[in-house]
Amino acid sequence: MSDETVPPAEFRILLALVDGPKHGHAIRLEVRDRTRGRVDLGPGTLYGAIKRLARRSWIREVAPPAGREGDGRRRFYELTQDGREAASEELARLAELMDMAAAKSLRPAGEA
Amino acid sequence: MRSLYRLGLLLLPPGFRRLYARELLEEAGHELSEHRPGLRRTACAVWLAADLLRTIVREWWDVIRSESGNGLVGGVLVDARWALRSLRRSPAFMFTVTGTLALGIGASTTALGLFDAYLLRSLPYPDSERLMAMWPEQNWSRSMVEMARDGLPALDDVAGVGGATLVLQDGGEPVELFAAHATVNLLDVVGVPPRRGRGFVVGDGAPGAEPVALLSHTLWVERFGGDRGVVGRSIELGGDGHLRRTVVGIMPEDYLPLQGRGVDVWVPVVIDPAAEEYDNSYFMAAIGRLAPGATPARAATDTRSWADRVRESQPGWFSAAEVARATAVPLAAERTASRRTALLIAMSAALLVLIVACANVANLIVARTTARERELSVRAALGAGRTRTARLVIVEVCLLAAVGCVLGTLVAYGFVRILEARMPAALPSWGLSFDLRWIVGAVGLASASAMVAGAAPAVQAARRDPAAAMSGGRGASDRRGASRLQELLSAGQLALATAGIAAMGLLGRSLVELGKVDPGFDRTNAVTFRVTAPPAAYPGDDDVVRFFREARAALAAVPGVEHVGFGSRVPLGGGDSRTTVAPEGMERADGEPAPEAWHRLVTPGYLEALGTRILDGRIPIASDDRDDLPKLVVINEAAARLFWPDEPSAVGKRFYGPGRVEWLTVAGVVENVRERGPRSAVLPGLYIPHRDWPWRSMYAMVRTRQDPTTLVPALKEAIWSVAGGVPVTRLQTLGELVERGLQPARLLTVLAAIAGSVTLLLGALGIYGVVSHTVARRTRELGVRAALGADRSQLLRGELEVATRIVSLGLFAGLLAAWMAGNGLRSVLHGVGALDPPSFVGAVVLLGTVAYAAASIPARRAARVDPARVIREE
Repeated sequence: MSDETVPPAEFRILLALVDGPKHGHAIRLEVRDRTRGRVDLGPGTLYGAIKRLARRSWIREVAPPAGREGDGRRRFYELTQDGREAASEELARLAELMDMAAAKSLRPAGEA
Repeated sequence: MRSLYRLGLLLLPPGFRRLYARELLEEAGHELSEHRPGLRRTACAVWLAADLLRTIVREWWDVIRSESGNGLVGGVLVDARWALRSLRRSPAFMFTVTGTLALGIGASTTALGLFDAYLLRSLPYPDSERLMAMWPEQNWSRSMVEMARDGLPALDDVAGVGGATLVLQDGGEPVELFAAHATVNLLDVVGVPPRRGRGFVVGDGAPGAEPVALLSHTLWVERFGGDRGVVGRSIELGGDGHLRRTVVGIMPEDYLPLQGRGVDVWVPVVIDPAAEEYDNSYFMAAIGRLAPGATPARAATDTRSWADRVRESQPGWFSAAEVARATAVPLAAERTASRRTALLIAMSAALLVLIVACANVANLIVARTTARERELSVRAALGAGRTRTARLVIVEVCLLAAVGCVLGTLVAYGFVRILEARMPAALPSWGLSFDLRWIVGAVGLASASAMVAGAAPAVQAARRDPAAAMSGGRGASDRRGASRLQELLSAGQLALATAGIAAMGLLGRSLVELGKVDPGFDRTNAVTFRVTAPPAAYPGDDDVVRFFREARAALAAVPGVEHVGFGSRVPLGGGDSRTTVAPEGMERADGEPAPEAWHRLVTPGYLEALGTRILDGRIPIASDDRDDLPKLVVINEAAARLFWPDEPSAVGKRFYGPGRVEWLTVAGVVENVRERGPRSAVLPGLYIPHRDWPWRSMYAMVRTRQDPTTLVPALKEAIWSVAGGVPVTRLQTLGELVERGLQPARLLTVLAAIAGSVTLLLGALGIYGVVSHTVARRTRELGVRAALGADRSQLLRGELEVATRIVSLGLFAGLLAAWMAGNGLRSVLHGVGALDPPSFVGAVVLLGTVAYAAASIPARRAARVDPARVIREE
């Protein structure tokens, strides 16, 4: 496992794509909804992250899934095998941190 | 708001923009449309802007990083990043270098801009390069212009123009106007027609023609409110034998008169071959337009042979020496001839500063590169090639030069504003515009500086041998090369500074000498101003004489006035009236023209008021001014020597005078007055009674018992008591006139002083840098020596050895440079040789002292080194 962390914005995008291809706008909406509006990726941040993820081949552009062609010119992205692994590794890293914290009885803010 | 965002997208790197701009714009549009106009929407726009800005920076950074190491562009970008980072770490170095460069570039850009304005831009006339100044050293008469028009095939046409003073009385206070007295073909030759009305026609110059005038645009607007009806109207414009003139046209607003700005009105020269003044009144400058196919060189030779022919037919007009100088030169060149020396000196001074600045920068960079030796060696060992290291230095220099260029442009702009405010006389009369050409000049100079300053350090960096550098971290041979280079650069700086300081000494001493020259008059407690007899109230010659007699009496009655008189010109006031005279009994060879003398028309009291000493005879007084007595005249010493070299006294001798005066008897001889400044030659001069040649515009010369400026209101009142409201112009004390005569010399001295002190400062910085650098490198060695018992003065002496080497080399080369500078300045020096020992010795002593003082600061620090500390560090 590499020591490298996945930047938060990029990790969120990876997570948003785990359950199937989405276009940029949908990714952004998913992130916003899942965090109840707390995290809102700006357009530049969003596409900058998409560009870097694509360059590392963690995601790739795909044809719109059947039935979604109506979304017009929007480009859809799906998670690659590498991307899925990278997300898992990042998750493992975070879990390790969670364990360490739990061992010291540190609880995430907002939990009882 | 969307379009603004779209514009912002343009700042993204092209690659990223091509891929995602559409989506970014769509997303932003979505976001904005979710909010109604108002606070929330504004907040949203701010958020979007911040996001975009962050993205722009991030993406460019990505580009730079990904390009790194790929190809030349990528490599340079890495180097630039690296250089920027390292420069940020040493702000003192950066400020010194960019400040130095900015000063040098700014000064040089200003000099270059002036050079361009004076020498490279064309005059604002159609086909101005085909306009020629004809025989510029000669004042032309009407007959000469007429002869030249027919006798010079290389020229299409020749026109003449002189100056005159007229008085405008139309509606309101009378004002004195500067008139161009021009042959009727002037505007055709120049090629600029009037904006309204017509130009002169041949009939305007015929004897007995109705007097006409062309108005300048400024006069038309200021005096006549821009009224178009003034064309065709007769106005009260007189002073030259007429009382009224008909306005036939208005000149264009942007027309640059040949005499420079300030011409209010043009009046035609009347050509009457029967009149006496057709031949003997020399008052014009002539300009010609080249015929199709003719070259300036041909015009010059044609003019020369034409002048020969004129002399053959009219032997009395010119001397052989004058004819030998007959030529035609392009008008633009003639305009700038008087400025050329000053411009070249200013240019050299500015370039001197720039070169020294470059040397300083080179030196600082060499020092820095050497100080970063380990860092560079590591880079080299990791595979950075020689060119790579050199490129690093070049990129760094270019960055510094770019900053210097921007600052230098600002400095140049500042210089221009200062010149405009303080020394408008230094700028060309046709205006100076700070435009793109200046920026181009600054960029050019900055690039040149970068090359000059970067070349030596880059070569030195490329020679670095990584193996030697790595073995123990110090490549001895390299370092010796580097310090040699530094020493040479530093010596070069000192040499140039020596030249600068020596030039400052030469010009300063010359200025002092100029101030010591006896002007031939007493400059204290005297004031002068110009008055024109109003033509309406004083129409005829007798009236003019009466006006000045009354004005003199009124001025003399003012308490505090000691002497008062009127003269047609004042010393150093510019202008000249020369004529030939025929002294009685003077022997001259056949064909040799009559001697030439300038003349001033004076009323009684003028010479006393001027404070000119009488050497022989006496000055005529008011009671001599009678028709039944011989016409008495005063001549200067030079005239007495030339006209009657063998006679013990010229008093009582007679000569046939110029123009309207006939036999004149010498009443007295006065000392020579330096009419055209302390450097001008003394020429024979005549003081002719004003009564015999009643000019209408005269200068009052008033000598007072106290500070003359306190009497000015009373003097004006006295003039107005004779003729109410008559304009009193060009009011100056004699002291101010003398000062103004010294101004060009003062300007050059100030210039040299600035250049000299800046180069001195830079030279001192340079040697300081070199010595502190050598010292820093040898701290360990010094510590060991101190520990082994070497005493402080011994160590100090050792360290100053470097300084001695630099100073002696620098001063030796400096003396050579100063000798060259002195030769270059020879033409502007007065009373001081180009090899003036005090200036040279002074420069050497000053330079040596300052250089040693600068060098001893780091050397002393080194000598105080604490051996214990050094050895601990080992």
